[in-house]
Amino acid sequence: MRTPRLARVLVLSLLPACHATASTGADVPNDPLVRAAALLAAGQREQALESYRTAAEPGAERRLEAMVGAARILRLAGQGPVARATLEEALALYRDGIGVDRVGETVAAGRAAALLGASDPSRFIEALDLFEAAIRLDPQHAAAKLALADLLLSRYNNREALPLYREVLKTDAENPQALFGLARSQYFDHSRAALDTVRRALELAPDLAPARVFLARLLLDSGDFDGVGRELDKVLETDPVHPGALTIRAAAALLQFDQAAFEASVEAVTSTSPGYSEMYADLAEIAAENRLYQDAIDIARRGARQHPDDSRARALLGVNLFRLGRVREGRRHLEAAFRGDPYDVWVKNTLDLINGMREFVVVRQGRFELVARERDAAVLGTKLFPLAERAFEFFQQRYGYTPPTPVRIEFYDRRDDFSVRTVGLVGLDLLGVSFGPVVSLVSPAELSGQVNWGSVLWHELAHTFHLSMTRSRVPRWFTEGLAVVEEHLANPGWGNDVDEKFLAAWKQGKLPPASRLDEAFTRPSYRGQVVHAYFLSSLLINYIEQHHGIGAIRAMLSGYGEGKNTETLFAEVLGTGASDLDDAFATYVGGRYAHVIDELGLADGGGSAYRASLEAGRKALDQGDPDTAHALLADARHRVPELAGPESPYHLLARLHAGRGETDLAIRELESIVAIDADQLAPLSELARLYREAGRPAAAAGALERALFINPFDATIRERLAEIQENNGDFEAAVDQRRAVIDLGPEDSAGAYYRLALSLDGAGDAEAARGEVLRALEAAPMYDDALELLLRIRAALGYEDSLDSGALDPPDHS
Amino acid sequence: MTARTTRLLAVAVLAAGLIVPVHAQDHRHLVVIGGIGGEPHYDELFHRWATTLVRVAVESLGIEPANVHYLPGSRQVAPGDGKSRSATGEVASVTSIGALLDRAARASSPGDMVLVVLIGHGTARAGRILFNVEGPDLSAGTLAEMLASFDGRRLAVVNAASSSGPFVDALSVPGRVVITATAGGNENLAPVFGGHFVTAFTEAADSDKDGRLSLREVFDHANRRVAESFEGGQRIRTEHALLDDNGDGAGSRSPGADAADGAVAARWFLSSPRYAFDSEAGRGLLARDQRLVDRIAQLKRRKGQMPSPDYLAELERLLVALALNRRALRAAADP
Repeated sequence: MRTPRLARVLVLSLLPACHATASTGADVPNDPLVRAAALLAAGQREQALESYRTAAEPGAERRLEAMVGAARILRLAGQGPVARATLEEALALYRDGIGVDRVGETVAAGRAAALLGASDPSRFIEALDLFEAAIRLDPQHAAAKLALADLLLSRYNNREALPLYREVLKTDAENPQALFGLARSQYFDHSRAALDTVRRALELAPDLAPARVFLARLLLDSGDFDGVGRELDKVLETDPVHPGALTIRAAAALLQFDQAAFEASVEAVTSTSPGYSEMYADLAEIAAENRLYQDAIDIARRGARQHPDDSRARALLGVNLFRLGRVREGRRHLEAAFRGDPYDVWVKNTLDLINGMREFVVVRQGRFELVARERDAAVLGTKLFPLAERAFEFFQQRYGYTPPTPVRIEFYDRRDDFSVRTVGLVGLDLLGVSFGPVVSLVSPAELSGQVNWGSVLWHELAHTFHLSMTRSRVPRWFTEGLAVVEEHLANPGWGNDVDEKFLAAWKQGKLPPASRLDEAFTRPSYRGQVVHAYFLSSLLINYIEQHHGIGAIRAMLSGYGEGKNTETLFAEVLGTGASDLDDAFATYVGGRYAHVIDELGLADGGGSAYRASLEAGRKALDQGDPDTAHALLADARHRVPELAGPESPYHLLARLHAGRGETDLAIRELESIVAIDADQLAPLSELARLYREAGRPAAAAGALERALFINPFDATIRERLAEIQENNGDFEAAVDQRRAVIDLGPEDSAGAYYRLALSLDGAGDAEAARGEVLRALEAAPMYDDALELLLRIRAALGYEDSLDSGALDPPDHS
Repeated sequence: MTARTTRLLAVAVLAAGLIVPVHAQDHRHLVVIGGIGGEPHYDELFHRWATTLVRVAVESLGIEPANVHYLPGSRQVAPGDGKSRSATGEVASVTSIGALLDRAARASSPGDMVLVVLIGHGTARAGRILFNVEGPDLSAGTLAEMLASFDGRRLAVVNAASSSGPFVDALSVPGRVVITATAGGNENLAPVFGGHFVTAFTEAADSDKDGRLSLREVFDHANRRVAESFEGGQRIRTEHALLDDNGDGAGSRSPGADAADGAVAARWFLSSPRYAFDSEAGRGLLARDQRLVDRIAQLKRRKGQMPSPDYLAELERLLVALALNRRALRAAADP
């Protein structure tokens, strides 16, 4: 979701000499170029422009650099055509040989081309060539390398930008520009290190305004509005009309739902920097990152209206319309954006995705609209619609709220498509996302039976309610935690569970306190922290609900919708301050898992009694000593009954009992596993087998039904389920399974149609059975069993077929 | 599949006349030739595929052991259990292959089904297309000459080696089925096709449910498994098997009704027919069975040009006729 575009704009407004000069205070340098930069840094644009013009006189040493500086000011002032003409003139001079043998002027020419790229993306290529030419002139020139790196990063090419920043820092570890570039590169990669890096840059160059604005942006991400204000004040104190700083101030107001302050900041930018089109795109981007999709649309629309040539605002308008299910309108804007900037990979990916979705089908049923490939829609539909309706009714009751319908549920059978749909780029490692009225999920076809898609759908539908109730103002920790709690309420085996890594992280203080949980989502400090944050957030919701009831949850949702922040709601709804709640919650978590922490040896770093029993039990089992194994494994299970992941005591005990023929005991262990963790397919499969062995076909069918929430595309599960259902006389249910098998495109299509015909015949629908057996025989005419079934069905329908009736020329019954 | 030995003397009397199911002399022959593996892993792998095929031929398909020949590719696997291996203890070389094929040709009669399977490595070098064996490699041209002695037999040749694609052109003859593991000489990584070709005989590959495995069904099944093995591992597919049976020297990747090849292979069986009679009445039922199957095939080809209800009605009429005829066949075979 995050892109480095804002930073790109800011860094381009930076002149190499200005920060150093501006920091010298009131001294007015004689060099007009240096003077211009200092004046610009102080917000005195008219004077700065004058100085640039002086510095751009024919014959001046750094004429092109001055022209580019002047063009920037002109552009901000809303004099785009004059600015562009100035830049073109600079480039024409360069082509005529002015400055071609000087690195600084070549870099300036490159910057001119890069600025022109905003309205003509082909100029980015020209800029690239010029920056590379500058580097050839002086391979050690830091500014040339940084200019190239900035350009690459602005075009999403961090893979090549990052080494350039590192190269400069290798020579000069204290180059603030390079550190600033590195920070943006890290931000692009979602690394929390960006914060430290930009702070280091600012230690070295406190007046590096773009870096400070960038720092404010990072603080905004973590909800540190005070910090944002402090950093922006420092910039605006020097340059009261700094458009980047004013933009982030507007963004902060937006995220605090202060409409008046938002509009005031927007007005401040438009009145002082009418040419600063980046503002709308930046604000739309920040809004979308905070799931304020409708705000993003409104802001981007304003941007597209005021700056029709701004492809970025139009792209954001298109993408966010698409997110809210307004595909046709979104596509129109995306196509316009693509015409303006065909190099925008985000737009290109999204348009490709939308084009690919032409092959998707739309199935409407009840309150929902399923959008998926035909096969996925057919296979998932029978389970999806009832589950979604159940979830909707449950949430309606629980929250006393009804969101608008239909809710659109999209399934993507390629992870890359889902990733593009969600963030515009490939590589996102999530299972589902809710944009409010649109829920987007990775198809279980792509998940190899590893995830319970029913629980994922339930989770995302919970978000749909939260986002709708709060006008998307609910913070991430609250909605994620609540959605996990909802999963547990629907099915104890659904949703994130406690595990050893989580408890270790919590015990080591690696997770933020209750009042700062959002930080773990926005800028995780270690791999896996986001997953832990989901669970920790669910514990906080549990804590709130247990102590204050569902009314408090509703009240907080309502409060968020009114624009109140978490701290205020803690006080108003829970009657506690953030600090007190942090303490109370820490005590709650510690108490709830004290025994697990103790058994796992996490408290004192000592040995784990649980693990000792588990390992010894496993060893005894492997060595053929089931009695000893049983005692040890039962002990381990007793010590930490919460842990049921693969290779848990439950699994080993189930294996042990099954091996001994103790079916009922094996069943008990397996039932415990799936009650704790319903994401595991193997125990459900084994359960179904054992239930059948124990003469419990209904339970076996139930286990296989649950297995279909993990792998609905497994034809074997469906065939097994259909057999059980047929044996139980439930032919209607078996028909559903048989149909799904056909939707899966079985290798043995004739056999699949034949078995469907058998089920239909059993269900008393001889006419439908006749149609399916004909399909089977169309594929395999010599299929003796199917030929016999055809005769039998026809007999049931009243046909009298016999050789005597004229086998090769039977009467026309049709 | 019927247990023909128990039905050998079964007699059925129908209105149409006397029908006698027969147990004919076995007219099926299998020749498996191993290639040199170059390293123990491949020696073992090729040997395992080859011996599995030999075992399936004898135990599952019921081919007379005397009609099954295996020439191992490596001395590392040649000695040993002997039963399913070269009687002489030889390994495959140009000379021993020639001798074995000559023996097999003499042991067979015109009209017999002969399947020759090559399992090993291959190379395509400087225009010479080779199957790697001990000593000089076996060229496609030499193999083509050796196979000339099978004139009149219903011959099928499978080259499961790498770079085997060009063998299609060299061996292609009208009425002969030629299968290669790869589409061209440049597909030179050790293919997995051979393993899937062998296991197809034991898996549910009988897609048309006629109770017999045709070479095309075996090819299709193996081809699907090859595709799955690459897709499952998310690897780029490095082999594309070919089947040629129209003698044009160009194989098809997806033989079938819409392709140039596949018609002969669809009727090329290693398993025996479900029903066999030597009485006129029995043969009459079988002939009617075949006529009906042919009419259904013709009807399916016209499907796109007919109104759907007409097509379905005609299909059902023919299927009912076929079903009734099948009842008569079963009654005749097992009164």
